[in-house]
Amino acid sequence: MKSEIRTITEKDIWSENPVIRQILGICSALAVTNLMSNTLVMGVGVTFVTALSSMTVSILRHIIPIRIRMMVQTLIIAFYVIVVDIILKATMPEVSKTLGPYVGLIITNCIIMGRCEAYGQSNPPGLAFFDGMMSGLGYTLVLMLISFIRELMGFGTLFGISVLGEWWIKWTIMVMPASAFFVLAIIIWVVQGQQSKQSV
Amino acid sequence: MRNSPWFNLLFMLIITAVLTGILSGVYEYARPVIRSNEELGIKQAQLYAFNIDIPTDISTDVIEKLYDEKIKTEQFDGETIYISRTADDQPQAYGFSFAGGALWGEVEGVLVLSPDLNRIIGIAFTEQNETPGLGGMIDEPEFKEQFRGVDLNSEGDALIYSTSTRQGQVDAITGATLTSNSVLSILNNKIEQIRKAMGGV
Repeated sequence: MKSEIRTITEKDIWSENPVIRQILGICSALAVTNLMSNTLVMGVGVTFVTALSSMTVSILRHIIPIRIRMMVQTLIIAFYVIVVDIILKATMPEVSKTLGPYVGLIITNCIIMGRCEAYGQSNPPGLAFFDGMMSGLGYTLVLMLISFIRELMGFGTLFGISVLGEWWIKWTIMVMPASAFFVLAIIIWVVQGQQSKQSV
Repeated sequence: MRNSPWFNLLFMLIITAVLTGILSGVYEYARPVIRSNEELGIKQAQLYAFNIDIPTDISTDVIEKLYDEKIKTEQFDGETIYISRTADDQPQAYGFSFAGGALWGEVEGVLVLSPDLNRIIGIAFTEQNETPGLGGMIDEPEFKEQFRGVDLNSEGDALIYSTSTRQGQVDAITGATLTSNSVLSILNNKIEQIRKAMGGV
């Protein structure tokens, strides 16, 4: 059990990181990463949905008819996403407005269905929950790194607090979605370079 | 039994009913809060359009109070009009709700005009679902601020965009032509309608 938890953590965050190794969840990685606070909320949302839907799929795995399992998974995921949307609208209306359609689009985040199908479907609920949580964390960490670079260079701020001061000339390109392509690609390049060195 | 189509159908129906049932419950529970948040958002948007400064990081009660103090509503021609007055009770600005279809969905907002209806005090959007980063930029200050203090044309369209060959009052958003044009035609239609209805004011 303990080694299982360690393996999951190592895989989901480093060696099989959903964004860097599996290139999943890229759409939102580009879209919501120009401000760290929005990114954090998105990451928490995805983590919440991934963990709970993977767990729910795991609990129901012996009753869900195999042929319609994907329909059921989508339904479960959609259920949790709408719960997140309602919570955001009720408690953080400002963030909900800036994230706008992206909250609903958590449904289409491939990481979630990927974990349900690859892990939740064939493992006990506790581990499925943990695996979902770690995958979500792996996703959040990469997105936070991207948004750290983008917000710092694009606005000169971190979490909305000015850190670089007046002399910094803001890189407008970093605020635009296109810059996430460059930042993400550089991160993937560096990390995969490190990983291939490790495996040699 | 687990592979029979009837079981599949029944399973899908039951799980859908259970999950949507729970969701309705959650939504019902959260609805009052969501609604009051939405109303607060609309009030903030209106204060912005009326060019009334909202001090940053203040509590919602203060915004509500400021709004109730500054902006009154009146019925005119079956439509709600928002009015702000100067200290000696003269009308300072009129606000009108507008709505119309844009690229992806309905755009709603408020348009505030000077008492002679010839100048824009400000505009704000309360509902829009345009492409984030492109059409969605109509809700950014850079776009909305352009409308402040704009004199309206008395002939033809009240508002036109500047192009390389023609001088207009405001700039469209690059890469969001359909949204930009929709917003402008919604505003022009609204201004024309207001002028027809209130011509004598």
